Amino acid sequence: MNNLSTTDTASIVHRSFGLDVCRTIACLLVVFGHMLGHSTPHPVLAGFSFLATFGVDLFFCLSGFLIGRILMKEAAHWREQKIAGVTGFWYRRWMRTLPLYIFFFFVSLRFDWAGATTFVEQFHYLVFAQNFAWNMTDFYRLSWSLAVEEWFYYTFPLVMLLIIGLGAGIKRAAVIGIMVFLLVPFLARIGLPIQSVRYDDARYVVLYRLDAIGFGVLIAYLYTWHRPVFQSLSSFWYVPFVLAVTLIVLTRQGLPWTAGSKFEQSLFFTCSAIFFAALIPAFFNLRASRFDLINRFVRYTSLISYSIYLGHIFAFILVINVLNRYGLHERIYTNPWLVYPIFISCVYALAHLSYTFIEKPFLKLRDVDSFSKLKFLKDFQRFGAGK
Amino acid sequence: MKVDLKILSGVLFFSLIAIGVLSFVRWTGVGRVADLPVSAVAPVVLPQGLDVMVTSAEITLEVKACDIDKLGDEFFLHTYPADVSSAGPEGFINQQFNLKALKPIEYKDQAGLRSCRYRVELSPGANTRVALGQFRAPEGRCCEILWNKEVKLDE
Repeated sequence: MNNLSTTDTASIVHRSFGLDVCRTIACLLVVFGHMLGHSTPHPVLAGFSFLATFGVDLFFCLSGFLIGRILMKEAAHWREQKIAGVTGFWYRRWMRTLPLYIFFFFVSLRFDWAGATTFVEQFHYLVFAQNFAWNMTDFYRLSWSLAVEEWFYYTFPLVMLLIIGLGAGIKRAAVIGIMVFLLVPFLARIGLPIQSVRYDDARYVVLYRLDAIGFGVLIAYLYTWHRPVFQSLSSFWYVPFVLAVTLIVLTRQGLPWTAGSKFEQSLFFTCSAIFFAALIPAFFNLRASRFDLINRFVRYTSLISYSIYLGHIFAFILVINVLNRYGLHERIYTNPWLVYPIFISCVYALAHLSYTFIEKPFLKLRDVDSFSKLKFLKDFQRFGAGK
Repeated sequence: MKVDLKILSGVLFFSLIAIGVLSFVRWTGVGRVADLPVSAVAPVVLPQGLDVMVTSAEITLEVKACDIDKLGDEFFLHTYPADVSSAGPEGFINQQFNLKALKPIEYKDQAGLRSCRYRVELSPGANTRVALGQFRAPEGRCCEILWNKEVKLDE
């Protein structure tokens, strides 16, 4: 959801269409699931709202793959750059993710939870401590996955840097980092069960979910150093696809919560991450379709996917409030043929605005190099001198 | 294999920052759940689309159109045993469940509309009454009772 790396023009050149498809599917699964939860769908449709959770799982794996590739490339210079290599990586990630996250944090305070909570009560959201190893509250609940991502951005490079600092090469550092990020969440899910309030609380805890991104990094590792294996995964895409569909069907039946033991529950999350991560190579090799309209839709949805993800619930709330204000709630809200197109239009409109006015300016600011900064300062000085 | 102390000290510094932030946040009470007693003023009206039947051995929940997403909040079932020594300090045995984690025992088609039936067994032994309902924990504060139905079994 937050793994786009550059601004419009450059990104269109460097983007993989297949990964855009993956991001679009993940994003629309989330929006679709939550849209059902914010409406009165047909009973047949109502049973599919759980698909939103798999949209996020796919996002995690994709994010792991993209960030993993960046890290394995950048880590080649970390021995010389020392800690500056990692802080530079954090700076780029934070400029990419934090502005919009903070914006919607304040939107939640002001509009969604107006008067019901305060900044002081929720300050821990600003350091992504809302769900580290404990349940999060209902405030700004969408942010749970952002917290998982941010802790991954923070801790994974540190683990790699630690191994490099101890004298190992990048490849070994990556392997050890990946193993840590696959094993620790698996064991934590068994050994440190949280006190659940809802039946599926464990799904939203950072420590329990880091392996979903870890498996994405594993795929990036295969891409970087074992390309034939990566290509084989792409060729046999139908195996993880069938397994992922089976997993989705089993989830509909109540898994992993009906599983007999914590071990089986933990294994379920691991399998889910493996199956979705194993689909990434197939997505990566996917080429654009013959239909330009579809290609443009996919590219655009992917481009603004982070804004869609963080803003879609607010778009639903906005539509419901407007319908109430103008007395149209009963007439429109109960009719899915009317309300769903309105919901989707509003989601895209809001995402377009937040992308244009928040994400894009910060991305431009981030990509200003030191030469441009110097030029800006000189121009500013000249302006000050009246020249 | 040369150990780089500058890198290691940098890693230690940033690790300590993370530990410090988490410890501070935890110290302020984030993530702690405070249990409050069940509210006595919870509505007794059952949610739309849900029927409940209670016998001395089990409760059966019938969900119209099998639409369990509208009943997504956690259920509580408090069973009050005749022998109070077998209950917890509150005087009842607490069972917690969610329909999404249960398998329907039966599907029923009536006038073209399907409904799903779920069964939850009561704790064995003689029970005097049961209280069934759904709750939420807004902001982690337990619990906001959405509805609550009590049935006496010893009459």
